[in-house]
Amino acid sequence: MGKPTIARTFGSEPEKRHSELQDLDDSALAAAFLDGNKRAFTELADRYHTRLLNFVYRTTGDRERSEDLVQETFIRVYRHLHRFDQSKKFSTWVYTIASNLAKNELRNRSRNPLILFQTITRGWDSDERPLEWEDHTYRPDDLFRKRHLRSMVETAVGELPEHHRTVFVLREMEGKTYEEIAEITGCNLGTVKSRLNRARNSFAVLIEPLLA
Amino acid sequence: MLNCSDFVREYSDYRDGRVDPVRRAEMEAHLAGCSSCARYDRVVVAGVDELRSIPEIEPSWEFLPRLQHRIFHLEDGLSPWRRSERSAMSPAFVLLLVLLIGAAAWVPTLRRQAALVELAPVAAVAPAPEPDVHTLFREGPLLESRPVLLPLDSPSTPLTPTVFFRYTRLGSNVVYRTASVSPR
Ligand SMILES: [Zn+2]
Repeated sequence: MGKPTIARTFGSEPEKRHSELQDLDDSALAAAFLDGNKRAFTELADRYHTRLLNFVYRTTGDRERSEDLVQETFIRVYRHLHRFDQSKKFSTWVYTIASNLAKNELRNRSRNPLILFQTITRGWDSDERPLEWEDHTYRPDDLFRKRHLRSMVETAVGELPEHHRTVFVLREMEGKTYEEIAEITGCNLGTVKSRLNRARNSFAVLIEPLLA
Repeated sequence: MLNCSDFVREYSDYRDGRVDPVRRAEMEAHLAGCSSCARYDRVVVAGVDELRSIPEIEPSWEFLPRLQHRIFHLEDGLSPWRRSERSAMSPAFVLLLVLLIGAAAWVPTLRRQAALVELAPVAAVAPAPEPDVHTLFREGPLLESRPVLLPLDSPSTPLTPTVFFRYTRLGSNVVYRTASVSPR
């Protein structure tokens, strides 16, 4: 049995119809949905639900809650697609919705992810100060290093402040351009660039001990 | 001359290919001669590579059915209003609907009032009260728990087994049926 796609889940229209929709790009699907083709929405959801789930998960760090937030993202897409400016990229719009929901979630959680980041950067004269690598006398062996590297890089991303983490994930994991990130986060290009640079710097500081 | 501070400040532009060729050449020259910045670059590249190698999480099996369910109810909730938008239902029509519903709610009350009719008095003879029946027949449960007191002055009372009865009311014609049980 194959992976349950939304097309299989959402009804009984012929597969041919589904494959025709699969050939359409996002804008055409959005237009088809607005013209009354409900299957176009299911195709959009099918196309984006996994990547949005991973984006929200990397931003919030909460697997279960991420599913709820992605569900909510699609509900908002369904309800407000008529407001979507079809001259823009659908993916940017849907990421904007998911990003805002993730941001609200983190805000509501009232935990402070800034603590470690502030510890790391405390005492720096400026954000552009080059890193001074310490001469580590202790090097974990390879097995230990391999075992922990993966969790450390994930942890490092989680330790970034939310507004740095979002741009970092959008750029490094989702491959978004600076312009797209600016639109998704509602920031100007300069802010995106600055946040991304700081995020990379903090990320490097956190994982450097494990990368000999 | 580009220094470490410049390199780190412009690192993201360099990594993302957003510097012009001349600046790119300068940064690469700095990288070649600066172990600190070279290491910084290696750590970022290796860390991100490691991050990208982590398998993606998959949505749970119930994700799509759940979304389908929510959309179904969303349609359910939205459809009357969407229909009203399509048919351009005017506020006057809504008001008319409200009035009709209100009128319908008053109909039973009005009909009840119309049915009130004063009738002429009717003379009737009350039935004579039924005489008390002194018997072992009693309506209700078996009398088996009730002791039967025999007269003290009749020791010759035959020692026949005491029989207890009950009757049952059947239907509206008040038919009595007797039954007997043996004493304990
Ligand atoms: Zn340097």
